[in-house]
Amino acid sequence: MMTTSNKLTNKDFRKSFWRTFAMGASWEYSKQLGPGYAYAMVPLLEKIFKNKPEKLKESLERNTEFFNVSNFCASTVMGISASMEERYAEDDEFDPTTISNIKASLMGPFSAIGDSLMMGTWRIICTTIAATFALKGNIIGPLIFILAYNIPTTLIRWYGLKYGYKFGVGFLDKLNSSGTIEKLSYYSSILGMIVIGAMTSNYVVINTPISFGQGKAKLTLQADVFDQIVPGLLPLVAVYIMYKLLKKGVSVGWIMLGTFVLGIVCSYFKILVP
Amino acid sequence: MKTFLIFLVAIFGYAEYFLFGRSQTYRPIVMCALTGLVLGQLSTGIIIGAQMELSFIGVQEIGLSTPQDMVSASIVGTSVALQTNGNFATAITFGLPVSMVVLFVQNLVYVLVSPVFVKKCEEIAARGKTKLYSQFTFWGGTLLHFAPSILLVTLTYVLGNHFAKSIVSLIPKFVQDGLVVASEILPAFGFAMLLEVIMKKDVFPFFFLGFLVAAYLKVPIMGIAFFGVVLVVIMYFRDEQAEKNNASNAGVSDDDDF
Repeated sequence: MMTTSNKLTNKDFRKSFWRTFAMGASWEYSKQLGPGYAYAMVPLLEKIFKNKPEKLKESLERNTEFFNVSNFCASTVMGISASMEERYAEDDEFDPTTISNIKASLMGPFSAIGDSLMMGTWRIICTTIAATFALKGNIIGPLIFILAYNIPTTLIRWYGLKYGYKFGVGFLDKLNSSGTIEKLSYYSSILGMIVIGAMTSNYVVINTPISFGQGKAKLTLQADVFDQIVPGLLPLVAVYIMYKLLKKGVSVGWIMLGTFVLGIVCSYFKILVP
Repeated sequence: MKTFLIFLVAIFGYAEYFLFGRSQTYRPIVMCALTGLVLGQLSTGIIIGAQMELSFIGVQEIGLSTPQDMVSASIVGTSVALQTNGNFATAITFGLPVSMVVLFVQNLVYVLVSPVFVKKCEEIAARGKTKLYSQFTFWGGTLLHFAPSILLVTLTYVLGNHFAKSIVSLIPKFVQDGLVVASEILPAFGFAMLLEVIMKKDVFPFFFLGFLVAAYLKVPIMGIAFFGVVLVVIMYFRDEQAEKNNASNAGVSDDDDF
């Protein structure tokens, strides 16, 4: 049926792969990644609809529709939809709205991988490891951060595109049926929690110079009470209060401003010291 | 010369969105280090970057929300801190207000101009002009959405050069101390934002596991992260085993029905 010249090759995928890095340029509130998605699809669409200019017009315009998923996950969706665009190019009966529907249904699971797994958890772990070096001024810190985050995402970006195309719509069924995505995000959120707990103890610094009594009976709140019973109690309380404020819907800017005001007031009355 | 280099660092920062495919290179841990490198104080830049990263660790763009412009906060904050022999507290005090202005300008463009731009993209797409479409979406989007921020950052860097020192010297001692106190509390805010994203009842106790091991046993964070990995792997195998047992039990009871 199809002439070999229309078949997508590694070269086409490479062009599209590079474009996915730049697809965010046209991001905008109403269509979000949509126009950028079409931009990254251009090399594939040009090939698929080589001798079908009318369908190319329809497809390019259709692909600008609303779309949003973590950048590095978009390529997998592109691979899957490219396999469907191919079917659409061959078959005049094929309804292209199917492609739109499947694209829309892919956003959920891929956002789960992208936002919660990679950006929400893996990035935190990269930061943790990087921060131990960077806090000492060691260049290894930022380097580890960049490499540890980008090696896995770049692999997903490339192989997602290729395997998404190869397995088509069946790709997601395969991932979903074994519950792989859910399991990954469950275990990684556990790891994330452990690391955030450890960072709360290590990286939040709150010192109070308050003391009671004098001479031998002198009792300093920090060294004699907090550090003996629960070291890091004040940081824990700070995180708890901030969390509650966020839950109440207090905005980021106000909480930051409030922290500054609190810091200055407590410093003036010598309640807290650097 | 330094102004030009800062200009390049700003382009690098915003390239996160239009060229680097959200590679997270726009985060303070990278941007402050680059600013430090340009201004000849790499290791101080890296330290400021690490502290700012911990404060902003919960800032993450999911879908619509753009809660902070970390690129401008990092570049302007770090450059002021380095020029005034300041620390992270100086960086965040100067970086934060500038980043709010930049964020405001960005949103202004997104609300007022971008809809027109996207309409034009659609028109070109409908005509099937793939080459023109590619150039228009990439260059148009880049210039429209990011050039203003890049110029603003460079401009505030130049202005900061002139005024930062005199402003810093006007601030009384207890206020400067207070800013340091606040900057040391800020990571708590970062972690709270993270908790808001991933907190669920069934994983909640693990937060305390990490906290207590760090607080009482003083295990370094890397060690705790590795223990965490081992723990998760153990849990995974146990869960798999339990699932298998369940499955085979179900099989047995099916047989009993016959």
